[in-house]
Amino acid sequence: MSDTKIINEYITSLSRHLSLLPAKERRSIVDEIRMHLEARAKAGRLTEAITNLGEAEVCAQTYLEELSVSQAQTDTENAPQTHNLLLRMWGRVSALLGFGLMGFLYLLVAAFVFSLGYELINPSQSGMWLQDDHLHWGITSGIKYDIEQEVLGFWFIPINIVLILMFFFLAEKVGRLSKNSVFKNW
Amino acid sequence: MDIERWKSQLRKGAAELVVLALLEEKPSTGVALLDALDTHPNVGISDGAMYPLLQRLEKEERIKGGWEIPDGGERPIKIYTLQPTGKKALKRMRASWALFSNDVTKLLGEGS
Repeated sequence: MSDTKIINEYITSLSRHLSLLPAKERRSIVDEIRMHLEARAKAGRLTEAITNLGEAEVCAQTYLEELSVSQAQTDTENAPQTHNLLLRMWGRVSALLGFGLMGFLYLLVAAFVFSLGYELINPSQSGMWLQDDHLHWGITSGIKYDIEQEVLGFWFIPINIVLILMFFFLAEKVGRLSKNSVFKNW
Repeated sequence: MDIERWKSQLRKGAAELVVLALLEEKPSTGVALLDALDTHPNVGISDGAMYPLLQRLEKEERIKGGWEIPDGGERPIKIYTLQPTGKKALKRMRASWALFSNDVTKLLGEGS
C-alpha cells in the first residue's frame, strides 16, 4: 500500500473517531496529523510515526481526554463549584431541549414535504385557503374547497420548498449545537 | 510496582512545562518539537501525546498555532508561538518546578 493511501486511511479513521468535536476543531487536528505523517513519510519513517501516534482510535481518544481536561480546567478556573455545577446542569438541559426542538423541526419538514407532494398530485385539495374565517394550510379532509377561497395558488409550491429547506437547515444546526453541548457536558 | 506507569504520571505533569519552555526559545511545529525532544528520551513525550497537548494549550490560549507555507515548501505547516498567558504560566511553573525538585532532591538525599 502506498504511503498516501496509508495516510488517507489513518486520517479518515481519525476524523471519524473525532466526530464528537466541532467541525473546525476536528479539521484543525486532522490537518496537523496529516502534516506530521507526511513529514515522517518524506523521511521514510511513516510506519514508526503511526506506531508512535497509536491506532487512530487511540489517538482520537487521547485528544478527547486532553480536551475534556482543558474544558474542566477552564470551568474550575472561571467559576466556583456550585456555579460550575449549575452551568453543567444547564448544559445538559439545553442539550435535551435542543434534541427535542430538532425532532420537532424534522417533523415540520416531513409535514411540508407531505403537503408539497399532495399539492403536486392533487392541487385542488391542498394549499392555503380560507374556511370559516380561518386560514388553513395543507390538505383538506377529502372535501373539495372553493378555488376562490385559496390564498396562495401556485405560490404554495415554492413557499413549501423554502419552508422545507429552512426548517431542515435549522434542524441540522440545532442538532449540531445540541451534540456539541452533550460532548461538553457529559 | 509498575515503574512505567509511575514514570508516565511523572512525565505528564512535566510535558506542559517542557513544551512551553521549548516554544519560549523559538516558534516551532509539532514535528520540530518532537525532534528536539529526540535527544532527551527521558522526558518521554510521545507523538500521540504531543499533538493533543498542543491542541489543549492552544485552546487555553497559552500558545497560538498558525498555518504558514515555509520557504521553498508547497504545503502549509502549523507553527506554534508562545502567547503572553503562556509566558506567565511558564514563569510560575518554572518557579514551582525549582522548589519542587529542590525539596524532592533534598528528601531523596536524606533517605539514601
